[in-house]
Amino acid sequence: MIELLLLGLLVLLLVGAALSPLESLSWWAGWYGARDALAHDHTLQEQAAAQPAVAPAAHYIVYLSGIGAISGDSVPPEETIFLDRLEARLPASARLVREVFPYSVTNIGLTGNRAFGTLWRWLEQRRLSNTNALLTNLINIRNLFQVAVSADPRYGPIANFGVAQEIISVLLREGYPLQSGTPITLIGWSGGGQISLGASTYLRGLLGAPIRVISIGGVMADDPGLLSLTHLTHLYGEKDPVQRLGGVLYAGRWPMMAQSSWNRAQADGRITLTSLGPMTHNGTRNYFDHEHEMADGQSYMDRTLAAVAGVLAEAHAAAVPAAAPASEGATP
Amino acid sequence: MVAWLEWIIWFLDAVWQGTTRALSLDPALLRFAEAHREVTGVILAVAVLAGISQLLGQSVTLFVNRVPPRQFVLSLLLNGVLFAANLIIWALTVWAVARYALRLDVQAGAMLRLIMLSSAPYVFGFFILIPYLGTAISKLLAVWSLVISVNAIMFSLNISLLVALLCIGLGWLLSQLLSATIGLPIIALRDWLLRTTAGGALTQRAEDILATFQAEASPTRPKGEQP
Repeated sequence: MIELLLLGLLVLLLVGAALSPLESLSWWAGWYGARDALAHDHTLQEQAAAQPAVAPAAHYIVYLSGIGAISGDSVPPEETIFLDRLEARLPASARLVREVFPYSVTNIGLTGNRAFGTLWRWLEQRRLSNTNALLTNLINIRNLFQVAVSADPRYGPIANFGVAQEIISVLLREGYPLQSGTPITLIGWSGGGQISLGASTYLRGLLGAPIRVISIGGVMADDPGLLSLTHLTHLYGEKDPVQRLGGVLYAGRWPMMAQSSWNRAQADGRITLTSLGPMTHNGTRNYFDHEHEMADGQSYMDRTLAAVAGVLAEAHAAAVPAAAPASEGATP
Repeated sequence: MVAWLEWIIWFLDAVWQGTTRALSLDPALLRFAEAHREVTGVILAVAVLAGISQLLGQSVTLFVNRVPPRQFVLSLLLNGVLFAANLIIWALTVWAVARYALRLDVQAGAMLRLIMLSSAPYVFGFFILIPYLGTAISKLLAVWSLVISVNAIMFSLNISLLVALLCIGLGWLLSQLLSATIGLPIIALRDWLLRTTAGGALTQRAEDILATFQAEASPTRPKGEQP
């Protein structure tokens, strides 16, 4: 009986995995009608002109959550605390954008108008009442499949283009000035690291801006987007086996594959790997743990925050040479 | 009405049994398929289903070329028929090699049924859709299919592995020869059918479409820092 149940679960998992690229593919094929992938009959300038006037920033920072995200505005509570603290440390001329749901080409969160919206809404309620509820792992599995879609050369161009378009739409709402070359930094946590790399190709192509990526425990493939980046900083915990998976599972990250995107970017000095200490991926003592302290008395979250702010300060200094240090600013 | 329903249930069960037992190289199934011409319909259904499932697994080509839903379904069905037709041609070439080149005693119908059983792994071809693992699954299914066909030929003709491989290899060469000569009009017809069903040629790549789109959507050229 148990064997049958396990077999059933395995089949369900495989079928779920097989269905996972269909959202991006059917969107691309125009099966959604009005939400057609290439239906834009106007240029980016016209899109930008249609937005309400918002003062532009000198540096845009886009946060792409991990696989626990349900929508752009429903991420695990610890990430919200992290982002609030990060935002408080940013200079006035930088702007944090956190409304992007990185696991959908339409930026429609799982609880939005979807076929299984009711299921995801129910799971969201379960997660709010009990963060350790077993069933909420369905959210992780669903989003994990989307990370695999982003990294798959067959589907990646389509899925990553869709996410890049959604990032651009949010940036334009936040007053992003086209043709300005205003730099963009993507912060990708866990699966968001891979999505950041994937979207970079098209952000660079459509906006012509320098793109940096900060990966927090990111699980990343040897995505061609690496060749469009100004720099990738990968922050990792020494007790985090999940972030190591990218280097094991994706052959292009193996040192022997000298011509892969990853190894070429690394040879160019465009990848920095920075250890944050003994951090784990999930559970206590993870990158966003603000309750436990490290040996030096700093909380795990504060260590991550300091590292991210440090990289952002460098990026901001490159964007606005006369800007004040990142930690001295106020919330924009 | 009930009789029809019973027949459909029997038929689906027979297709499922045929598929799963072919996957496990069941000798009893091979014996039965070789001796009973009345199961040809069931085995043909396995082959058509395999063709449909295989294209579903590789449907990224249809999606990239923006094939509408109706044409998408028609393309899957057509591929099922073409996949089965291809197997029939291959079975006939293997039979011709065995019968006339190797002087082996075999019935064309029996060979047809046994070779078509080798399509069974592709009934699970839609798993090729699985991101990242799909490419490996595709290769696994191809090898599995080959193993079934070699095993079926060894069983049917009572020959060694080497002779069975020779039979398949020569059959393949013969089919290539036919494709390049008298088969050309048939191939042209097949391509025309695929194009017409899908509503256009399936030759575009997502990367090329995106490059054009980016050039049209953004007249800006990269500014600021160079990567």
